[in-house]
Amino acid sequence: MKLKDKVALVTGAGSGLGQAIALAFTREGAKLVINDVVEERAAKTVADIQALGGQAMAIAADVSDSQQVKQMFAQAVEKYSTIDILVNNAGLLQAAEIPTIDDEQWKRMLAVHLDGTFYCTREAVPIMEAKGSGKIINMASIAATTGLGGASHYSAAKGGIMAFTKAAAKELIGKGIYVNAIAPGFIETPGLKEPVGMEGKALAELIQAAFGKILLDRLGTPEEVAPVAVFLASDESSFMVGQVISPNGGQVI
Amino acid sequence: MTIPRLSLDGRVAIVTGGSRGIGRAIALGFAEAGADVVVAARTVADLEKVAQEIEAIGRRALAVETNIAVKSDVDNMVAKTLEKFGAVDILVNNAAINIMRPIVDLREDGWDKVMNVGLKGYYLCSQAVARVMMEKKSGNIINITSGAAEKAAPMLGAYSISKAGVAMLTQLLAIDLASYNIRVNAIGPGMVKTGFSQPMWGNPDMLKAIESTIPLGRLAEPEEIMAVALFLASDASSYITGQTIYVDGGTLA
Repeated sequence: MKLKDKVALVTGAGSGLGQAIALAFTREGAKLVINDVVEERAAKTVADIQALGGQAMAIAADVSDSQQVKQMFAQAVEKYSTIDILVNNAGLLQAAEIPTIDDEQWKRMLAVHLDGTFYCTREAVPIMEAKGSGKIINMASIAATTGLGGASHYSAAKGGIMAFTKAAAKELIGKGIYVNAIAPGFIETPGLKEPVGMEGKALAELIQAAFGKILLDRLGTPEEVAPVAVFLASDESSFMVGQVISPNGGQVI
Repeated sequence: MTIPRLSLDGRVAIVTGGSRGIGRAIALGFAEAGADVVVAARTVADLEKVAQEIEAIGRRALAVETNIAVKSDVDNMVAKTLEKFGAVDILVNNAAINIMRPIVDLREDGWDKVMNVGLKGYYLCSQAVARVMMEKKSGNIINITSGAAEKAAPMLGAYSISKAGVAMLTQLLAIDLASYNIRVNAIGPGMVKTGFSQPMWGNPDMLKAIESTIPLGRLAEPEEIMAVALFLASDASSYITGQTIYVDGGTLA
């Protein structure tokens, strides 16, 4: 059990990557704070965790709202008295070309991803600093380094998360707080399947035609991203600071 | 949903430079995870010691005196492995030579020594092992590069250049071998506490100077590199290929 008795807060854990990460953390002995903007989804993940014999609480909050984030952390600390691990995962993928992205969509994309990551980190720092240790894992994307045409706002947000990760890492390691990132490639989640309206082999082919050959010739699964999060949350990554691990099937090398 | 564990049960690993430092830590760590391990290096006495340590852990071991710069030695290493274990599932290219001299002062034979072991040797080992793995349509290659592959280390000129070469070798091998179900990745350590790097930090003033350039403020233990190698060798990294993971306490962040 790599995360025995650690308290982990995962944003956007109502589905997809966040949910898979939360369940993987549960198997490693962690107690979970499950955040999602949709209350029912957070509750469902908590139920799944409890069915595994784990401990979890659900907090519905929009991470782009700093007041809601403040409240979320206060509630989490009230129940668990600390937070050891923060996974800034809440986000959304949207395909839109530049002329069609209106002000609201642009701002929303940056707000959920970048503001959300910042607000949560800002709340977590004093808590982690007080105990002299903590692990923060930010969900970047291959879009952070290789901009995805047709998702420029998403790419900008993920790029911002990457730069924030490196700056925060250097600033916070002296307080015992590790900050690293995961940059997944294309992972088959509802968040990807629903907007595109395809799945499986057909989806993999479409993605490769649009964004480049995936060496492993398939999309990834959430179970292939969750172990990366476990690795970065545990002592196994004790010499990794401000770095990124990219499970992308060899699409970006 | 099953999350893969960090297990190497039933697998056979070859670790070059396995007699000391990072190589020895990886050999022992892989044995703890359930692998049988072949350790290859030029120093037979040290090799035999590590082989005994592997057997004490409860796994099978083989020590093969090998100069990876020499093709017949490399072919012999693979042949002996197949003779004893019948397979090669994992190759860790780790052996290296370091000559601390700026490029303008480096003698030709010094250049040749560093390149022949550190770059040509990695190509020779990769080619020999890949051919076996391609038959089985399964395998895993891990190249130890260095932070020096990205950020020039003036006192380690030839070494820096050889590691930059290994970084590109990693990408090329990943592309060539993906369709054979062989993943190829690299680890770029920062400064690790081993005999190999001791000339650089043995002196207390030099150690202080180096530590001040590392955000984490200390050198890595070899086990902290081993942990990343284990992650890359196991199924936990099944969607990761062609990647370099930097493990450097924040130096490159």
